[in-house]
Amino acid sequence: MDEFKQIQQQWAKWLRNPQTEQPPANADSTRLKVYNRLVRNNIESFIERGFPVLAKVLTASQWQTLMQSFIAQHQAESPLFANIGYEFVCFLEQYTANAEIRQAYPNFMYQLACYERMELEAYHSESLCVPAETAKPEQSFWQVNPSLQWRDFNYPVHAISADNHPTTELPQPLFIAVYRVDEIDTNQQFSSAVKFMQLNPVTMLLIDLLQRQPGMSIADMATALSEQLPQYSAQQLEQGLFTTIPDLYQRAMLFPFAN
Amino acid sequence: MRRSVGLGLRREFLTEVLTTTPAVDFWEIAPENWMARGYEAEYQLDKIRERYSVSCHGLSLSIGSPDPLDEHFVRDIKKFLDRFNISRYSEHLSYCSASGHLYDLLPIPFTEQAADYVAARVRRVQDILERPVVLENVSYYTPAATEMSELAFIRRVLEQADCELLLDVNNVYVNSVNHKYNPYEFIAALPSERITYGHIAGHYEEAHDLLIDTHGADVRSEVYELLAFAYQQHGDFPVLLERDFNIPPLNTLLQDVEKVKAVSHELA
Repeated sequence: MDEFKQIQQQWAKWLRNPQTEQPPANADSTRLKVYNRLVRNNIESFIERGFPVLAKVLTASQWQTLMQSFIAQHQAESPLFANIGYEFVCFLEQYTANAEIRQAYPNFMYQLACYERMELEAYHSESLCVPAETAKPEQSFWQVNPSLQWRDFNYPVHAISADNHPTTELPQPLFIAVYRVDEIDTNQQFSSAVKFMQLNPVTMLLIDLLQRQPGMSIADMATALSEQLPQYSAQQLEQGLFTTIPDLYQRAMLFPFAN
Repeated sequence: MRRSVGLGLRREFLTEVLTTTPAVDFWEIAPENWMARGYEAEYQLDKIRERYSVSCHGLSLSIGSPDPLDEHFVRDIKKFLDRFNISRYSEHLSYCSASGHLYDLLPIPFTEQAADYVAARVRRVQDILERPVVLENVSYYTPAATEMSELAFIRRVLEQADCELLLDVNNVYVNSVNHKYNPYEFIAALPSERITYGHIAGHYEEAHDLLIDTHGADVRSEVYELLAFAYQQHGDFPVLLERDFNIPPLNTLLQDVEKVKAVSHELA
């Protein structure tokens, strides 16, 4: 390796792990500490803003260890600051795969981080999330709001706060969808709101189906769902969808399909 | 000739800018803060572009990184610059990644080998972007290697890369205190023909011999004097006022822009 690159790698190693790595040679230690502080404060402030609930539920020492481990162990690929939170969730998945490490933190930590990240992912969706008008929902073809994210959780992540730490897994998984609804008013002012919705398992299957195959009619959906839900006939499912689909459309989770 | 002075565009006052449309020569944005930020960010930036000229000042290119150049990212930047019809793209003569991103600007070792390596990467970026890259002299707190001087390093990169220089006068001032050199001699020795853009900002005095480049305070009079000297030495160039922390009301910043405009190239 070129000599200057070796110097740079030594800087990076030390910045990631100042407790165990040798500081770069020939550099003033007081001045080096400035870099250590800048790097840490910057990354930590991004994570704290992106995961405010997680930052509140961890003890100061858990938080400190977690930040140190993230900086030391994770090789972040994204040059975009908006993606530092995504990098952090990727790190947490690996980090909490280790049972010993998992025990040092609340058992819901990784899932809470996923939940908190979903809001930003919905907000960062590139598409305009304004549902088209449709007079006859029952006759339309459908797609899912392009910003919609969903995930199943084993903990009631939406109810976690500084005073509420769930300790046991839920008997049934919880499905939560997060999505954005936009509005452009008559003065061309743009506004948007991120919405959270708890879904039952059948609605979750429906959303998943439509995300994979946009443009289905209610009859198409009933046929496809009846294969996954043999306990219901296609007719029963179609009856149910005549109520569910207009409801999801009202909530702007589903949009009429536009080619 | 009327000098062009811009202001760093911050989300803190974006709505106010969109509704009151104050007179500003141009705004500067960090593409990293606007790329992949969703529909609203594009919508707002389109509105800004309808009324204003915009410069891009990158943060994460990591031109001096030991990691391979992220060409995928450079192509994304090109798409972004093309999408919003932005011609000026500047970046830091620095690096912020080594075996992954650290998201902070680190000093490249001042060696000939490093200078030539950086210059080759700058040429590649210019090819992909189909635009000149304007490189900024950065502030630093301790050098990583001193085989050559900071000045010789900057000059070598600019020549080898055949690129432009963003003269950040606050960084020259901060470095002159941190590394005990004469900021006037430093500025005088820069190549006039390559200086196409300037930055001015405030800093924080952590100790009498250690200034931190925070962009979080008012511009010091010593830095205004350096800007006047730079104009006198190198002629006029557009300048941008940076303010990224402790952001005052927009009106106060607009008054600060007027102060930068009033800096004369005539010696007092």
